[in-house]
Amino acid sequence: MALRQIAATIGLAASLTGLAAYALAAGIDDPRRADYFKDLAGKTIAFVPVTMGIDLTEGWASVMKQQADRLGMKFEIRDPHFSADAGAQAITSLIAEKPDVIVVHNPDIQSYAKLLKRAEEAGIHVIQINMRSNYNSDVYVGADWIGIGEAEAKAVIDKCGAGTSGKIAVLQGQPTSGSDSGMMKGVENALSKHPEIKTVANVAGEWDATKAHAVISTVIQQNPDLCGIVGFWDVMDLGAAAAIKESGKPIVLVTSGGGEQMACDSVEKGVFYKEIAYQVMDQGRDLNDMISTVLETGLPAGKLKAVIYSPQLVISKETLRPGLCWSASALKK
Amino acid sequence: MRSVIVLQYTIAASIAYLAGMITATAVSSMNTAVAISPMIYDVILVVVLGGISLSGGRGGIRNVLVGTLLIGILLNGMTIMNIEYTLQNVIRSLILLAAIVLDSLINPRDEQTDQQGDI
Repeated sequence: MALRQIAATIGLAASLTGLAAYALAAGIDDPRRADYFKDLAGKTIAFVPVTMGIDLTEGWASVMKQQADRLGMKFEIRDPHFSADAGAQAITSLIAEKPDVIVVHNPDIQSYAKLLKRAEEAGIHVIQINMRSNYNSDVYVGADWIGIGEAEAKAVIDKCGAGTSGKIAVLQGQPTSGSDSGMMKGVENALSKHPEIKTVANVAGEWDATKAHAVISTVIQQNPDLCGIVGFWDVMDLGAAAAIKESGKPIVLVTSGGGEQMACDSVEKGVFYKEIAYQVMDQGRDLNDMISTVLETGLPAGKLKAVIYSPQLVISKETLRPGLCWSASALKK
Repeated sequence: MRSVIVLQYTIAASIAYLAGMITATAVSSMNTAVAISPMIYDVILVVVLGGISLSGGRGGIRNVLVGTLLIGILLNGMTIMNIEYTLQNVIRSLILLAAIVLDSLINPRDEQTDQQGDI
């Protein structure tokens, strides 16, 4: 009797295992998959950059567009071309048009602050990229500017210690921007521990290589023994590099930027001593993840309050390797 | 008259072309936003300080050269003195405002200049 029971149990167990194996071979549907595609399809993402035509914004836009195309979302760009007025107008009209998400790249911390608040009150999710505003919206994705400023200043301090004049210059972009105010704080943090280093000039290049070239030429003429320059954006700092080259002096130039191929080439040629970079392609991915997160969670606009700081990438002669930088020209292919 | 105007535009364009080439070779890039940049205010400042009336009909080339030097020294001087960027902008705008107010007082619009058109 007992033997029969054991046999029956074994038989039952064997058939159950067989059934389970059969079910596995047939595949199981993921209950969340259909909702994911359904939630995201047909949504509209609007991107308001400071300007298109620069490595950063072209990079973010191309990554966001890829996701929008893949998931059936509408992606549009309103390019104010360096004009805060035009950008404010673009956001005002977007508030009326009601896209689902606005991704905004602020020219400074003040200009769009009230508009972004209004946009979230109107139910539009606002994601700020790299240059933040005074208004903290749903998400900030971007560089940790204070950390970058500290790292840049440390790199210059290492080169401008004992045996040099200890004189450095800071080349800001737009001092009222979210990036500059952060980087400047970082530079101040690092310099506070090094009283032997003297900041002889704190100038602004307005993100323009020509302007940077003009002001740095003047600074070098005034301080012929200048040891180092902390630059706030690689594209603009090429102008400072040209001024250094013209002066023929061995001035150390440390910069920061999006880690585009130009940065790697410039470090290789010795134009930049170091670049503390934020990786634009990864930031694009972070933007995509946050776009889908705000849409999927179903939270009302302005509730999430998340921050994603991009990790730092140090580009120097020591870290250079093929594939370290991304290529903006390859995006067009 | 027409040929003079065409010549004026041609010369201005050629000078701008030359200036563009010089800046492009200096920094091996070109700022595409230069046309809408606040540089126009520096240009107006140079012109007005050079004694050219904004309502037209007055001024000379030599004065503009002096105005250019003056503004060049002002901008460089502010960089050398390490004056804060925002304060620099305030100083520039105050000088521009004063220059425009003085210009409209010294060179008021009259029937003749009104026909020359506005800037």
